[in-house]
Amino acid sequence: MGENLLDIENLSVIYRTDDAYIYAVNGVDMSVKNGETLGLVGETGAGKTTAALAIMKLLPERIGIVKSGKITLAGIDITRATEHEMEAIRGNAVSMIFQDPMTSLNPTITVGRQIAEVLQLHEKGKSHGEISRSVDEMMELVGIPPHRKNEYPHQFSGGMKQRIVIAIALACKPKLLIADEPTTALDVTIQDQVLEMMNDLKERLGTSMILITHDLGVVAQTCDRVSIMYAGEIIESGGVEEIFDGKKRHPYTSGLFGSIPNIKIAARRLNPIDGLMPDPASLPAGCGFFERCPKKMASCGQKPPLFAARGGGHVIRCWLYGGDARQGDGSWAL
Amino acid sequence: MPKGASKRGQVQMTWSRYRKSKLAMLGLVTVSVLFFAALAIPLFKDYEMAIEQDFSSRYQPIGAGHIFGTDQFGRDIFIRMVFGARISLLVGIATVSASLVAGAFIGAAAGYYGGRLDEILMRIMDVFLAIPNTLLAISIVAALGQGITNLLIALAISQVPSFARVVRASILTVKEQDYIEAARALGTSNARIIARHILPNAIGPIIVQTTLNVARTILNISSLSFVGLGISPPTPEWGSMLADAKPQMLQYPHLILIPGAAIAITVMAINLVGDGLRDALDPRLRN
Repeated sequence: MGENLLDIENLSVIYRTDDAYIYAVNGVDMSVKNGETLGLVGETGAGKTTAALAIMKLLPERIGIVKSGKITLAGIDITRATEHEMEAIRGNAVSMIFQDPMTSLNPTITVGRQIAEVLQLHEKGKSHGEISRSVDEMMELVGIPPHRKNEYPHQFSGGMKQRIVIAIALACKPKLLIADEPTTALDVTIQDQVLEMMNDLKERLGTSMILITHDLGVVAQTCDRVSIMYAGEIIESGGVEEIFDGKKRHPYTSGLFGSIPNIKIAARRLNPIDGLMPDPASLPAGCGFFERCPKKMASCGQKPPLFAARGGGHVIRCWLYGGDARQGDGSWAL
Repeated sequence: MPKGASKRGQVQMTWSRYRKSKLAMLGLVTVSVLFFAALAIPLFKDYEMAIEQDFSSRYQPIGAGHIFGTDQFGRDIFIRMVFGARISLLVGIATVSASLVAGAFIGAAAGYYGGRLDEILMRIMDVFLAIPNTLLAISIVAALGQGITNLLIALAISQVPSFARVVRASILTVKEQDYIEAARALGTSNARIIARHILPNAIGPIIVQTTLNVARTILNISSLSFVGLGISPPTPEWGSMLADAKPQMLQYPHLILIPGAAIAITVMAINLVGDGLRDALDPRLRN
């Protein structure tokens, strides 16, 4: 597995509050190859952002705790890195884009200086002129005329701000870009432009990407592989085609696809998955999806299923497909 | 990239909003005149004129020879007012600067790092806050002894908690902003985040508090001098001038009206500037 840029093994993260432990991420395995885009899909509270913050080592101090697991990024063991080492890694080897471009830029600093700041932090040898040239280059790359670099964030529109955020994130040409719902706060037309630009830049700079989203349309448009998270676990993972062709799916994944309104069918109501995600402070003993699952069996509530591999990297964590079998070519009952 | 571009932008925006308030402009003009008088006039007039007694010209009324008349020792009140203004403004600003620096350090550390450090620092500040400002200053002066330096120390210590609280509060709101998290995600160090990303965004309330504290300090200096604990005679000081004039206030009301009005006008003008700044810097009115 030498070509993996990022390897996460058995990652568990808890949030410790005054009266409870919140089990936010529970035994997640994940890997990203060089140049690959991984989509991390799941509803709010599934642990997507927590997993991302663990990679950045930016979990809230004293509250977010990595309980177990190993994160290796480009050969560096993140879980053991000191804060000082992380400062050199963040923004340089791995960058993160946050959800809301309206608030991720400092309102008192011009956008040009904000792009320059990352370069100053990580490319210390560069002269003033070189940095200034790199800033112009990055702004052109994201499609904003460089003469606007002396303007403040409030002088830009939402889509343009997100372009600047992307320019900052990519300024040091990181190996991995984590985009946490980068287009959720934008309207659909701008969303499309921004995604296309991110895809294009990713190709050009050879960056790998983890795209966190709950929009399956976005996944189809940009990702190579998809991992679906539910209650802190990855319940299904595979190539985009395998997930989208939909022959064999985790019941939750089926529910996700089922809840997308279909323009060809006249329906008066949406078709949501009934119920709520289990309380992460007290997770059930068996499968996390047990309560809501339309295909549940009595045994599902007793023991959590393991991954069943369907070959080609497509794995499903469900008793329907054996659940504890290493290969899942049993009867696919979907 | 032009240097200070970010500063210019913010200052310009604030100024254009500040200018819209007539009261704030009135305050600013008054404060400027006071500063000009306090700094420029002593260049032409000797300090001796403010303290030398001349019994041949006692209790001169307001008029051509002496603009504000003379006091019971024959000293020109206008000259004394000017030198008094110098003391009030300079001691006021020196005190507030000292306590601002100390308070900013305490507040920034408490607000940014939080946890136990925050608890310890802020509980100590609470102890100081529980004692009325003037009373605290009086006890410190009583303990250290009289004199301008001790007065400065006493007033500075009594102001530190108010700054620590304001700085901490503004840092708490700013540090939760996404752009702080974003800066951390880019590998920015804690010190740089505080200096470059948090303080410039938290500066509004701090500036306002500073202005209001200057006014309060000027009032405090006068109060302490009035009760005989501040600046002692013959040094011209508005509060001690008031105290000196007390016995003759019915016969010669100008002796008490002039320093009294000066204190009131100065404090009000600085407060108007502070209010104007508060409105101009209020983020809700931005854009």
